[in-house]
Amino acid sequence: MIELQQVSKRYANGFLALDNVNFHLEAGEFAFLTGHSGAGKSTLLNLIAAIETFTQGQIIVGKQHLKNISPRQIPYLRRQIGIILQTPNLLRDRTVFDNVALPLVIAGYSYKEITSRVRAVLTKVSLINKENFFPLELSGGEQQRVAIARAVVNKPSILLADEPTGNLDPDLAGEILCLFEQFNRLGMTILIASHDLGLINSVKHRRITLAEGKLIDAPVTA
Amino acid sequence: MRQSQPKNLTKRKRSGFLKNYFIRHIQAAFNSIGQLSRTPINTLLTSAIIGIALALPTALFILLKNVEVLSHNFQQTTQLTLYLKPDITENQARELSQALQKNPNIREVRLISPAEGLNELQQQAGVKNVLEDLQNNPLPWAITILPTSNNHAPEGLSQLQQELRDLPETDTVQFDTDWVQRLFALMTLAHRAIYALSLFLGLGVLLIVNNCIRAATEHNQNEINVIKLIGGTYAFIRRPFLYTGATYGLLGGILAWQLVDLLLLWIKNPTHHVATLYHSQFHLLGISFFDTFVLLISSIMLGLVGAWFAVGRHLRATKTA
Ligand SMILES: Nc1ncnc2c1ncn2[C@@H]1O[C@H](COP(=O)(O)OP(=O)(O)O)[C@@H](O)[C@H]1O
Ligand SMILES: [Mg+2]
Repeated sequence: MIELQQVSKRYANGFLALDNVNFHLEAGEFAFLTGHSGAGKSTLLNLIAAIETFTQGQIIVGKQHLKNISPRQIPYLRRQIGIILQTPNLLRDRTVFDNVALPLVIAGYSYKEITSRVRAVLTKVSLINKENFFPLELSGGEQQRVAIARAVVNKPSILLADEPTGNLDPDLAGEILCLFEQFNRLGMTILIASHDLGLINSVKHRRITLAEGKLIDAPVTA
Repeated sequence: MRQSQPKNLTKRKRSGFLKNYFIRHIQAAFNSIGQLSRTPINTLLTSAIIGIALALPTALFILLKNVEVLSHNFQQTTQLTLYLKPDITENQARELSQALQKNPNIREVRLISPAEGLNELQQQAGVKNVLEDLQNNPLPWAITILPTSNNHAPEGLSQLQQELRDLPETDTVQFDTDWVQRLFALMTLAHRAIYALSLFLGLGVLLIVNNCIRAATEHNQNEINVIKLIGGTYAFIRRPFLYTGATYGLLGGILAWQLVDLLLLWIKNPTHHVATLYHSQFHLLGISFFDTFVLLISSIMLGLVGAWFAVGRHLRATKTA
């Protein structure tokens, strides 16, 4: 589902953030991307979502080759990928419902379909009673759940999350992880960047570990 | 479920998400109008600048149109006078006038006998005393000619004049085409000048809209980034800004239209007064339905194009999310 072949990323300032990275994530897999701060986790997720371009190698997402992807194709790539960042990144002037509905509006779904899908996903993240709240009226954990709902409402085949629990206390982090596992059971391929070893060790999933831009096979001990 | 929500929540405005493309367009339009109405001063100022910039060339076009009508009226009354040679007899004169009547370039022909000519001359003060001293009538037969109205361009007139001059019976043809030619040359010049002015001011409007929309895109940077991240196409991002640009254009166009209307109203009575003094039937032409249509379409297009370039540049500048 996600394949990296000898991928290197050198930023414009000359810094080599990823150095010859290879891995293959099968459809339906659940993996953590770990490593210390500055190891290149965010960079790697940004490459997969075509937010950044890489300087060497090839990345294949689904059937799409990302080397030299045209700007016209990027929106359609991103509709296959749910992206969750560390900050929820919600639109403050729109309600929870409207924030979650946005990907469906963009994809051109009918009003009926939008309503039923948004309600379903809000039920799943336990926010159905707050669909008319504005983001600033929610707690941090709730905001992150809205961001997750927005990322999965379009039923993407891939979910990328960059430190989704970074700002949350362990209980909330556990709840969010639970949500991801539910989506994984529905068939979604999931890649979560996190340096929260406590959280990672609480479940048994594949780990992909980066150190200074290089892939490390040895498992990281808690 | 919605009905069971507390009142203060359900009454909150929510941008509707509607079925098809057409309705989503309407929604984008309403969104952008809503955004414009949230910054009314800015919207009004921008539209006012656009309106004033468009009012100037529009007013000049309307005034030029009036001058054209006026010059046409002048030419309707232009007549050529054909003075025949002194030895031409009454019969020959009548035959000639009948022949001329058949010329397709001539609308009206009037034969004037020497007696009638003298009579007319005597009506004019000053000449009377001189004429009374004359023993016999020195005037030749004459024919006044009104050209057909499609023959008023300067070239047509001088051609007709030449034709008449070449007749064997003709002594002289009295008509001065110079002023017509001068007037036409001036109007061509005025046309060009107004086109050039419109071009400059149109460009100005384009830049004004461009600048406003660029500011709006910067203000909405976060929203644009989010939409890009969840797979929004450039077209989707562009759409509300295009509506905003078109709305600026439309408001500016309506303002320009009203300003020109006001100007015409203001000069209507004085113009009428001048016209009556000159015994003219002339009525000031207003801004027609077609003129208004063209004005509004152009202003909307300027707004659209200005917005298009602004969003395009912004999207290119911030390529990645
Ligand atoms: N835009 C950038 N330009 C240059 N260097 C960058 C840029 N973004 C990140 N980096 C560098 O790349 C390295 C990896 O960053 P990042 O992928 O954010 O790490 P992580 O998410 O694992 O903490 C860091 O050393 C960071 O300084
Ligand atoms: Mg990071």
